[in-house]
Amino acid sequence: LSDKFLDLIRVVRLRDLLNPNIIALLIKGLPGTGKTTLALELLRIYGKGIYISTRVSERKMKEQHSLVMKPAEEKEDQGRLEEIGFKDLRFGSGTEMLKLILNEVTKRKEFLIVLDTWDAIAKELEPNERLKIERSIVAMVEANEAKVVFVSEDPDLTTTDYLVDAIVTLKDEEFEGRRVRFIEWNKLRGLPISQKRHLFTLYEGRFTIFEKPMVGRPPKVKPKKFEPIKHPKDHYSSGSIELDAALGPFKPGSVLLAEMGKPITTEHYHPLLFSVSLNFVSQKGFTLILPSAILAPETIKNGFMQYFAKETIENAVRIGSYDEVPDPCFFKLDMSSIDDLFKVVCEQLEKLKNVGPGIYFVGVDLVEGIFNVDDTVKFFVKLSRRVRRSKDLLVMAAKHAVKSTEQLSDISDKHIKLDLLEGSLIGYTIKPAKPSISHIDFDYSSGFPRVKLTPMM
Amino acid sequence: LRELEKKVVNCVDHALLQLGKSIRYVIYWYLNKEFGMKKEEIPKRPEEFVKALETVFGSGAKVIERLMIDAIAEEFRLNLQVESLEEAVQEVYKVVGRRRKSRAQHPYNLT
Repeated sequence: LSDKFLDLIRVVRLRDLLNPNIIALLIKGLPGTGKTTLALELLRIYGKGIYISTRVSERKMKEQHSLVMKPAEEKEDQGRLEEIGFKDLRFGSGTEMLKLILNEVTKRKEFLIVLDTWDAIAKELEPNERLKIERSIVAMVEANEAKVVFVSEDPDLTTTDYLVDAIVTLKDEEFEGRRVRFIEWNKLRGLPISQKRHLFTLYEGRFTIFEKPMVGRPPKVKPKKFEPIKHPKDHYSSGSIELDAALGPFKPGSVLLAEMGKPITTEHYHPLLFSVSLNFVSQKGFTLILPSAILAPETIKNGFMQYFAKETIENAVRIGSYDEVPDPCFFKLDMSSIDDLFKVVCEQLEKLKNVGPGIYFVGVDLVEGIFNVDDTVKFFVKLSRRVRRSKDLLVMAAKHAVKSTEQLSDISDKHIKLDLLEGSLIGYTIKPAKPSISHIDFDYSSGFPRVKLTPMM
Repeated sequence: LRELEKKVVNCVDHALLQLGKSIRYVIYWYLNKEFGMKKEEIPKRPEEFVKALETVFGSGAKVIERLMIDAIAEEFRLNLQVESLEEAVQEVYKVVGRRRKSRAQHPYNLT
């Protein structure tokens, strides 16, 4: 995975928690939800601070969070992490914690103190004394231009909740039998909470919050020549190393069903399918597209125009259209019967037989919108037979409303599902069934779309 | 005089208790460690004590100082129109000294 890409998205949202209005932050969550990783990620971003542990030793912490806790000289971004310290307060009292904090804050400015967990000490105190200590800690850190992060496993409202400037709660839940993690923004002084929950992952021991996917190339990024990922021997590459790893190798002549969850729209899956097409066309292959009913053929062609010369597109891109268009890239779909539709598709494939391996994208809704389920299945059965003979690749894109999904899954070698969770695009494999789930985004930093998959952990 | 200083220390003690027992303990510990001052020395070095509080609580020290002034005013039954602990302690010395003097000059004073 491109660290730069992940580092960028990681930092954007977490910086909100370190904004100047926030002196005291409370991280809540049950055991195993990622509180320590978040606290360490904040320390990493802030650059200067101390981690006070009431739970684990320094050795254990370094083992569990090796990437964040490793010594300065081994760190990639030296200079930012060199001032992070660790204090073992497993057998300490409230007084000892206060002494430690006071000692640290009066020595240094702009310092981040993590108390993990604060509960371990707070639960030993009388409620009144607890509140007084918390108030004093906040006053001490504020006076010394420092910040404090309280980490708590207490799901109930406590005195800390009322005192701090920001509260986030970490949760893990089940989605389609798979584990997903959420960060809930409960309080954020000085900043509006634009979205109540975000998805996050603990992949590679780092805390990464996911945003909405980048569905189009940002205007400031100029298009550049697509850099293909070469098809390995006896397989096809999707143009994304992570996608290849997640889906396994695409054998020539295989059929993939891409099912869309209810909130998925064309704008979500189009960049994914488009970048796979780019990888074929850029390696002297071709693409044949029967677009989803609502996707204009011209829009698809314009997408290719950004990355290839006109001649390449005219040789390697074929897009089905309801209308007769005087353009070699377009061909008219004959929707008189399912056999006529299949025939016109085959005619186009015949014309492309001298061009290298091809990928066909077919919007299932385009076929099912005109024909019944049986005919739709019949069409795809015939097309898949042809794909297996020609050793190309067929991708059937099935929107949520499509009725033939189950039958199409039976004829496919692989079945993936895309969905939206808290605005983030996710994907998982139904056939073969895998317990993993990945976040999907598109990286345009190189001037073309590259699918980025991050495992949800 | 030692009795008077003891009373001032008690007032400081009482005011700091409002922050909690642990905080009070930690403040005295810090005072000794960083400023080499024991709590018994506060009446003699009130300005330094307030400075120490400022390093701990910043502008919040002003609130704590006010609590100490109020405690002193109550203990010595004084109407203190002062802004700092130092002025309050000086005022205590002055007024209590005057009270003692007038008690000593009282015609029925047999001591």
